Amino acid sequence: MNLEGFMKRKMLFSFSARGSALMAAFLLPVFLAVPAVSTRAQTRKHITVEGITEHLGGQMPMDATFKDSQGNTVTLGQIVKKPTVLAFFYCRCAGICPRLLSGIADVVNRMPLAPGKDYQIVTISFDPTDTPKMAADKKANYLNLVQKKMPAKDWLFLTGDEANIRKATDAAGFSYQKAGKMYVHPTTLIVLSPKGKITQYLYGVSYVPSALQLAITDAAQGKVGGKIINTLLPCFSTQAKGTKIVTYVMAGTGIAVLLMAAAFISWLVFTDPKRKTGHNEQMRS
Amino acid sequence: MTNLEAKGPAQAGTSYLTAKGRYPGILGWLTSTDHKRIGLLYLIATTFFFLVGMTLGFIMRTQMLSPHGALFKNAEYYNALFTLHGVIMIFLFVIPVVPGSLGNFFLPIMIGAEDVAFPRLNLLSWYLYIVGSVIALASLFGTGLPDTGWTFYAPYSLQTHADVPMAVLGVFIVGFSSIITGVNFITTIHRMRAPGMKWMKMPLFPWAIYATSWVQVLATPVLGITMLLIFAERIFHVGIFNPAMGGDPLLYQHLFWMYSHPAVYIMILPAMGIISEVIPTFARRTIFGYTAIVWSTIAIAALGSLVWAHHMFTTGISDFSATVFSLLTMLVAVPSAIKVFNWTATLYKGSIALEPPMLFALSFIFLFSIGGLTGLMLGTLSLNVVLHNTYFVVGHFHYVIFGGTVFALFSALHYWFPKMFGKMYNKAAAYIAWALMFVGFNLFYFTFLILGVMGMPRRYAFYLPKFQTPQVIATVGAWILVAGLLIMFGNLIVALFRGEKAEMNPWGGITPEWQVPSPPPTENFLEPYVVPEDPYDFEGAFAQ
Repeated sequence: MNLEGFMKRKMLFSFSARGSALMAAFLLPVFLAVPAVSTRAQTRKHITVEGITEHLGGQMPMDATFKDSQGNTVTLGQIVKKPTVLAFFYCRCAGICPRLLSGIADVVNRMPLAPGKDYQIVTISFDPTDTPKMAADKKANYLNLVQKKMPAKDWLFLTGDEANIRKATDAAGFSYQKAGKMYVHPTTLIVLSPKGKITQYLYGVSYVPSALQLAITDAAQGKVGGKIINTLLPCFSTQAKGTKIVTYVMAGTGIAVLLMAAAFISWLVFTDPKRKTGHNEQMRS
Repeated sequence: MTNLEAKGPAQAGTSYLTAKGRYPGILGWLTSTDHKRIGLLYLIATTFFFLVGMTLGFIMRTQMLSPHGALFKNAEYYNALFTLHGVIMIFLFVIPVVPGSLGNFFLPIMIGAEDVAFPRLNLLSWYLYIVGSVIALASLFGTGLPDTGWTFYAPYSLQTHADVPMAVLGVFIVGFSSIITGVNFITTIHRMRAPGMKWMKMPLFPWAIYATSWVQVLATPVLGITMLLIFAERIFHVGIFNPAMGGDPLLYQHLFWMYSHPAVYIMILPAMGIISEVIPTFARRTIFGYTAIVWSTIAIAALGSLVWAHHMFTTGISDFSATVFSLLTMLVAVPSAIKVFNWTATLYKGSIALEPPMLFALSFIFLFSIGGLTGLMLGTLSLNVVLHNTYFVVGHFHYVIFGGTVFALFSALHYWFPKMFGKMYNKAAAYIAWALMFVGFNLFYFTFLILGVMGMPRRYAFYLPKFQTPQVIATVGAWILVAGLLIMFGNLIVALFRGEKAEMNPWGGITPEWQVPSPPPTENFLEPYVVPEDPYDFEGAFAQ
C-alpha cells in the first residue's frame, strides 16, 4: 500500500490549446503578478511519501535504543518480550496522531485481552526533537483514556535520535517526511511477536477489537498474519503557505470588491439628479 | 431616450413585437436593445436549457426504476447525466432565468421607465451568457463524459479528464453577465423610477430584483477569484487546492460555496418578488406588511451570503465554525418565514380568485415551506450527519428551487403571458397542467425525502433492492410531473400563435405593467405613469 498515487498526483486539469488562448486574454494581469508566488511554491512541490511498505515476517532491530518517558535508555530488545502493538507518532502532531492514540486506548478498552499480561503497547515518536518530558505528558493523557486496569509500564512512549528512529521505521516499512515544521505520515498499528518479528499491520485510527485480538494471539505464537486490505489514512498539514497566499488574495479582492460597491452606490446616491431637483428628470416629458 | 429618438415618431405606440428596428427579421431581435426583446431572448434560451435539463432528469429517473439500472448498466452514463443536469439547471437555467427574462421585461415597466439604464450593456450580457454557456458545456466533455458533479469538488476534479478550468471559466462568463445585469438593474432602479415613485412606493418585484442584483454584484467575483486560483495552480504550480502540492481541497469547497450559496438566493429572491405581485392581485387586497417584506428581502440577501459552510458540516471543519454556520442558517429562516406569513396574511379576508397564476403561487407557498423546513433540518448539525449526501438533500433542494423558484416562474409566466404577448392561453389546459405538476412533484420529491431518511445515497446509478418501491413511486411522480410540464409549455406555445387576444388588464392588476397596452409598445408608456399613493391599494383603484 503506498501513498504515491495520492501525494505525487500528476497534473490536475487537462488543458487544451483553445483553452489556453482564451485564458491568456483573461489572465494577463495574473501572469504579471504571480511569478513571485510561484518561486516560493517550487521549494515544496515534491513531498513524496511511500506510506507503508509491509515487511510481514521481517525483524525489528532489537538493538535500536530509545529513551522511555522517564528518560531511561532502553533497547527494543529489552522491551519486546511479549506480543507488542507498535505505532509511530510524533508529539506535536495536531492531525491524526491524537486520533491514533485515542484509537489505541479505545481498542484496549474493548478487547477482552488483559493489557500487560497478554500484550503491551509501544508508541515511538519519529520526531527526533521530541523529548521524554513531552512523551510523559502524552502518556499521562492517553493512559487516562484506558478504563481497564493497565500497568503504566505496559504502554511505553519512546523518543530517540534520528539514526535509531530511522532504523526502526525502515525495518517496519513506515515512511514519513518532514513538510515545513510538521510531518507527512501514515498511521498504522504494527503487531510484533515476543521476538520482535513483524506479524501484522492494521491501518487507520479505529480498530476492530477482534481483528487486533487475533493479530495478538497469532503474534504470541510467532505466526505471521495475512495481508489485510484497508484504507491508509495519511496525515499532512493543510496550513501550507499556499493557503496563506489564498487568504491574502481573497481578503484583498474582497476589500476591493466592497470598495467598488461602496463607490458605485455612493455615485448612485450622491449624484442622483432627484436629490437636487426633487423630481426625476430622466422621464420622457 | 436616444434609443427612442432613433426609432422615429412614426412608430410610436407600435407593439415591441412588431416594431421595426434597424434590421429586419431575426437580426432585428438579435441586435435589439429593447429590454423586452432581450427579456424574450433570455426566456427562449433559458427555456431551451430547462427542456434539456428536464430530459436529462427524466432519463435519470427512468434508469432508477430497477436496482440494477433500467436503461443502462454503465454508471459513467449516470455520472454524466447528473453532472449535466446540475450544471445546466443551476448555472444556465435557474440563476439567469427570472432576472434575465422577467426582470428584463418587467423591471423597467414596473418602475415607470422606458428601458433599463444601459440598454446596450443589457444586450451584451445576453451574449456573454450564451458564450459562457457554450464554453461551460463544451469543456465538460473533455475527452470523455462529464463526471465531476455540478460542484467540481477537488481533489477529484483535479484528476478527471474534463477541462475543469475551462468549465469554471464558462461559468464565470455566465456569472460576469449576471454582474453586468446586476449593475444595470441597480442603476435603473436608482435613477429611472417614475417621478414620485419613492423607494417605499415601488412594487415588490423590483425590490426583489434590486436585492438580487446586489447579491449578483457582490458574490459573483468570488467565482472569478476561484477561477484565477485554479489557473494559478495549473500554470504556476502553486499548491492551492491540490494536496500533492501542499494545497487544501477543502479550500475549494469554501470558495465554491461562497459563490454558490448566495447563488441560491439569486434564484429564490426574485421568485419571492413574483409571489408578492401575484398574491395581492388575486386576493384583491393590499399586500400585508409591505415594509416587512422589503426588509426581509434585504435581510435574506445579507444573511444568505454568510451561510456557505453549511454545505460542509461533515467535511471536518471545526465544531466552532460549524456551530456558527448552523446558527446563521437558522437565522435566514426568520426573514423567509416573515414573507410566508405576510403572503398568508394577505389572503385573509381577501376575495380569492383561483386563476392559474394564483394556483402556482399558492403551490409556491406550500412547496417552499416544505423546502425551507427541511432546510432547517439539514442545518441542524446532528441531523446533518445522518442526512447529508442522501436523497433527503436532493429532495430538500428541489422543493426549494423547483417547488419554489420554478413554480414561481410558472406563476409569473401565466400571470404576465397576456401582457407579454397580448394573447390568452387556454385556462382549462393550464389547470390540468398545474394539477399534474403539483401531484407529480410531491409524489416525486416527497418520496425523495423519505428515501433520504431510509438512507438512499445520492448520485448512485444502482441501489439496494429494498429501495425499489419508493424509487418506482418517485419515478412515476417524475413522469406525471413531466407530463404536466409538457402540457403547460404546449399550451403556452399554442397560445402564442393561436391564443385569443388578451385584454390590457385581464386579472385586474394595479401595478404599472397593467396600465400599458398588451403587448407593450416599444417605449412602454404612451403617457407618463402616475404613481399611486400605495402600489397595492385595490380599494383606491376601484373607487376611481
